[in-house]
Amino acid sequence: MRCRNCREKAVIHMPAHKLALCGSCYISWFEGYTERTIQKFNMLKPGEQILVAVSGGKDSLALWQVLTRLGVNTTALYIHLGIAQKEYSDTSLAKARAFEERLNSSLIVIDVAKELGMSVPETKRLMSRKVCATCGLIKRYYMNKTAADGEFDAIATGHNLDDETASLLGNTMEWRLSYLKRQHPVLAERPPGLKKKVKPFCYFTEKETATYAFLTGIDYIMTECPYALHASSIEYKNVLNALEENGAGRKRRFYDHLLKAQGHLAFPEEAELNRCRICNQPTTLSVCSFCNISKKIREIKDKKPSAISRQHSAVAEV
Amino acid sequence: MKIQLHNRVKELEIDSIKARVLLKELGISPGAALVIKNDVLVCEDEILTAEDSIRIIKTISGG
Ligand code: SF4
Ligand SMILES: [Zn+2]
Ligand SMILES: [Zn+2]
Repeated sequence: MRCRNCREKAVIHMPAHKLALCGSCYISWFEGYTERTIQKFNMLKPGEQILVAVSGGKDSLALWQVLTRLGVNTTALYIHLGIAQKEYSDTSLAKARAFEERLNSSLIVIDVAKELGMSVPETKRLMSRKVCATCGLIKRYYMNKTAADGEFDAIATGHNLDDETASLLGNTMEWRLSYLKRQHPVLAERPPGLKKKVKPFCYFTEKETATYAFLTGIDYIMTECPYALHASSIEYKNVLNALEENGAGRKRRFYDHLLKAQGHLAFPEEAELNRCRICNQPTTLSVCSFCNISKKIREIKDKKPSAISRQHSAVAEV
Repeated sequence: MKIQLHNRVKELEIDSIKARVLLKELGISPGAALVIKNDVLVCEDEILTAEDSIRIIKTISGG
């Protein structure tokens, strides 16, 4: 197979794009496509300061690099979750640190165990919810807080088309309307204090971001988070890849049609946001879920028995 | 033919195979893997032989 641009030997064939490219043409295509996606959805304005959430994985490091190459003002944020199994957190932090140096950019590191008094896996003892649910909540909290404290204009995440369609499939299977309403490549800022969120890689498949990472020599963590191994998202991704194999472009259409349908479907009203009484971050409650968790942790640390009886109190989103 | 799959090495009793067919044999979707032949990324129509050094990177991640 030959490159459509220069007739060199192709390294990737993308049936959904009806396109085969050689290594160097692919790199320019990938960066240009990111720029076009940013423009299509009006994600960023010139001069905005962007906080890129990085995990040490291929997508987020690639995003950090592409945005930097496109001349976007970026700072990255790494949240150390304290996952010791397979040295997951330490290794991924080392990858992010090395990449900071390579890009000559800057990285903010938040250590959850230091901030909260407990690592993410340890929170399992006090929550009735799964580790991933608590982890997601903690990550979203620190992303927004760091962006607000540092006066960033937006948070960029490395979610790709496979991530987006896997969560779309999951949300559709359960008809989670409020999630379907909010799933979009760009979520505008919401007062008071919920920062804009953008996903410039939403149109790239996982294979495409991995190809970019490989071709530009990005050293990323290949080990999975140990908690991800049984994630239903992997099951959904496999199903979607099987569909894609029999019909190129299906993942992209699934996602695009959601974005079109959003304007026509009747969704439940979103709850108003206000500021958390304790930490001042936006929430739909009077005390946010994060502050609830951190209160429980303090109670456990102080060995107050009351914490046990509250173990199963409901913790709502955001 | 030796194939490196993450930190494991798999041995198959074949002399040459198309990358697409190899992925199928291994139960991996072509949309979820990169095939690297002698340190170079190749398309699914590439012929791989027992003399080549072959590496497969799975691209699916969870979480
Ligand atoms: S898999 Fe779960 S625990 Fe691991 S980083 Fe993702 S959300 Fe957190
Ligand atoms: Zn080319
Ligand atoms: Zn709070």
